[in-house]
Amino acid sequence: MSRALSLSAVALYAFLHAPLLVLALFSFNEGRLTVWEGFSLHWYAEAWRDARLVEAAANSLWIAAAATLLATAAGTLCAYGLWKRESRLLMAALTASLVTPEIVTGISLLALFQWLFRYAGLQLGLHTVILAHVSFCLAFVVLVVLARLRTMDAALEEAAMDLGAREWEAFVRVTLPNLLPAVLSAALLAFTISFDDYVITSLVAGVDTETLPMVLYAMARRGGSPVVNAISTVIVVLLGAGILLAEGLRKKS
Amino acid sequence: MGAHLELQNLAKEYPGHTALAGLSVEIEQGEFFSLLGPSGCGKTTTLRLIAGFEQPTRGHILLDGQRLDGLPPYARNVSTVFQSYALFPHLTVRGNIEFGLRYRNGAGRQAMTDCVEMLGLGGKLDRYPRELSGGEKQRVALARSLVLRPAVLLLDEPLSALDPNLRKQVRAELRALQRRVGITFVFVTHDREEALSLSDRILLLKDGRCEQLGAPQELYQRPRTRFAASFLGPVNWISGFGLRPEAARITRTPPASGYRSAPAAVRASLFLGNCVHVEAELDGGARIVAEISPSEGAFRPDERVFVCWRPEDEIRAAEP
Amino acid sequence: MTTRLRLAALMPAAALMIATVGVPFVVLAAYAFQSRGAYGGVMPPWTLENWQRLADPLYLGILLRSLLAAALSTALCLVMAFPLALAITRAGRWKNLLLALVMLPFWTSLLIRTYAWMFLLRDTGLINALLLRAGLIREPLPLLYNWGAVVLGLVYAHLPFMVLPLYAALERQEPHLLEAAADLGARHWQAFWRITLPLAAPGIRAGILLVFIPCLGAYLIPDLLGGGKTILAGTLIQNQFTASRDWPFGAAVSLALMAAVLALLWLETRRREEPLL
Repeated sequence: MSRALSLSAVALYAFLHAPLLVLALFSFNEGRLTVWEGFSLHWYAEAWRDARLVEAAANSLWIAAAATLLATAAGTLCAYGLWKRESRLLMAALTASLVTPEIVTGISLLALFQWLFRYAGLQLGLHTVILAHVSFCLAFVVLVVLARLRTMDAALEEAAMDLGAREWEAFVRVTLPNLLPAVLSAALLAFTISFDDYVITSLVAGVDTETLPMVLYAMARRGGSPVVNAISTVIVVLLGAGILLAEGLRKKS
Repeated sequence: MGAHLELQNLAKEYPGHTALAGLSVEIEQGEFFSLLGPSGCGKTTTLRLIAGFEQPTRGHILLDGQRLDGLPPYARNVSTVFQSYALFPHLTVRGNIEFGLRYRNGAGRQAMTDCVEMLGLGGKLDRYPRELSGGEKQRVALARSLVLRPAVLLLDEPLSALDPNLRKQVRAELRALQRRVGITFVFVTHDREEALSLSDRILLLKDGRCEQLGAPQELYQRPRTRFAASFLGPVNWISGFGLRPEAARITRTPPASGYRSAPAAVRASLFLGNCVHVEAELDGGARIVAEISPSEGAFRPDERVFVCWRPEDEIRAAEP
Repeated sequence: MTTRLRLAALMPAAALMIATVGVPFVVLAAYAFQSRGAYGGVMPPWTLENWQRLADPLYLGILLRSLLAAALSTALCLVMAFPLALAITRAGRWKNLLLALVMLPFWTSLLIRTYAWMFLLRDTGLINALLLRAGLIREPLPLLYNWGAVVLGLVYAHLPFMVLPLYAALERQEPHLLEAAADLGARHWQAFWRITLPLAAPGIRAGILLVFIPCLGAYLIPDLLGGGKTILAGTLIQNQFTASRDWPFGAAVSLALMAAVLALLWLETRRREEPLL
């Protein structure tokens, strides 16, 4: 019984991780085909020389940074307010935003923007992408921060106020420092989700803005190339490093 | 005919730790047998070896002459009442009690009815464990095992989860229940009062070995070691022997013949309602506590007195 | 906390939710009852035609196929995740590491994880290359751009969502319960069937929900691994807003999908004592 269990667990871990490992391995392949022809970094060099890729990556970083910052700030405050007293309506809206299929979120935002533009004369672009990203990251941030708040002793703030702190001072000096690890991991989650998004972004980006997932998607639809492997590897490694770093910070605090 | 349940040189070793170091004991049919000892002495390990949750490193377990070791738990005609009761949370009281009936033939509907009635669970059959009080949970755990009519019932500190007021009452009920069903009980506890009041015999364990085996009176009055003496009750150590507080008398005049005595000074006196604890310092320097009846008079600090006792109450225990 | 301060804290998020969830929903609902414009967009008159088209066998088939793909993926996830979650609960000091290894793909890009399967399955992909080289096949097997590939991708992407709630439910079980079952005469599989499985039920239900809902509305995976050949609800919606330029119908399909998702969520949260998320 337990041997069968261990064997199936090993098989499932292989299923979960082998595809990415193989993908990364072949980013270092000399040749274009799926046959090992020797170690090389030239696919990485080719990706770096591709101006379209570099610009898309810069866009993605910029969007993810802005969306993370805004979503984390708004989400943390929102979680704090909800912790003080539940709001069923707001919770329902956040849950709805969490479970709505991406494609539906995308087209509903697109419909909204089109409708607005008819009256306000705005254009799709970076700003609409950032707004969309803040919107779908918000629920994740609230979720992570609220989970941490629920394990926190409400008496801490009361003690701070008992010792003379005003409410906002109690929040800033007592609650926020205790909350920081959760806020950090929420921010990281938001960054990951934002950086990765293709479906919603492609719908609200308009014609002039391109993000890295959009370029990768287009390349993948054309059948892919080792350059996609190389970029994928870089993204996975950087995100992985970020997570390990955040996890390390969380453990330390 | 040999013993009903027999442990032969039973040992359990873990990496870097010996839980049980070769225990041999014979338990009679219908006996209320207690395994007593401090935490880590190996008493729960012994129970888990008999139940089959762990396999012994050495030695054998025999039930009516048949070897139990090697059999999986579900094939052993013994049953366990867990310390946490381990009631199945998704099943009602009825579901819990009926759980084993499917696998163990011999017991049937009638056993179920008898058990439910005997343990007074009639009105609770459709409740879930989370809706029961501590005492009720314990009775369901008992019923769940007893309904299978096991040859031996193993009880792992079944009273420790109850609140102290309830414990004494349930203790009496447990003893009466065992008399009534006539099943051998092997009872694990670290509480000496429980062991002394319930058991036919007690096995005192220390560091995975048998420290002493005997009837409650024997262990209490004739402990073989200092550890046994202290574990079974408070004891004053006076040069070379021990004296239970209740065996010591305090008098103002030298005692009658048949008593030994030592001059002493009262240091403190503590009124406890049903008795008085008098703390006295013998002239040799040893401090002792005597438990006397309130009717024997009041003693003031620094009063000169005699501490007396009967020679047969002296506990001659080996070191340590 | 004073009401004013709490309101100030909730304000940015509430405004964002109203602007990007509430208002778009109203706009979408309004679109769904109008007629299509010539170049996308909508125009009067108000109509129920879009909803009637949903009953068209062509579109009904697509919706049913989406339900089927989601159900199949969910079932496969459950079957795979259960032994995995069980193995993790019994892994002792390796527990946290094993759990992190399940979570890891969740933190890496969905797009990249899906592309990894394209890389393995396509005609010139690793699996075909190895089989060809081994001489087992002469022509590449058509592994990509079909139903199987889509379900495989869905299972792969959503497996962690099933493992985590199952693990949480199994981890909560008191370890003595299985011993008690054995003690009362139940064999391993009997104890599994009568104790482990019923007690894991809340985790199973949560897992089913967490996998089924995103699978139902999935767009990226069916599009990449199905190659546009296996049209599911997500692709149908996307088409209406791009190639077909039939926004009202796209809005109707979107609302139908949302209704299905919210109904499932409501059914589950109604009977739960603890929050799902």
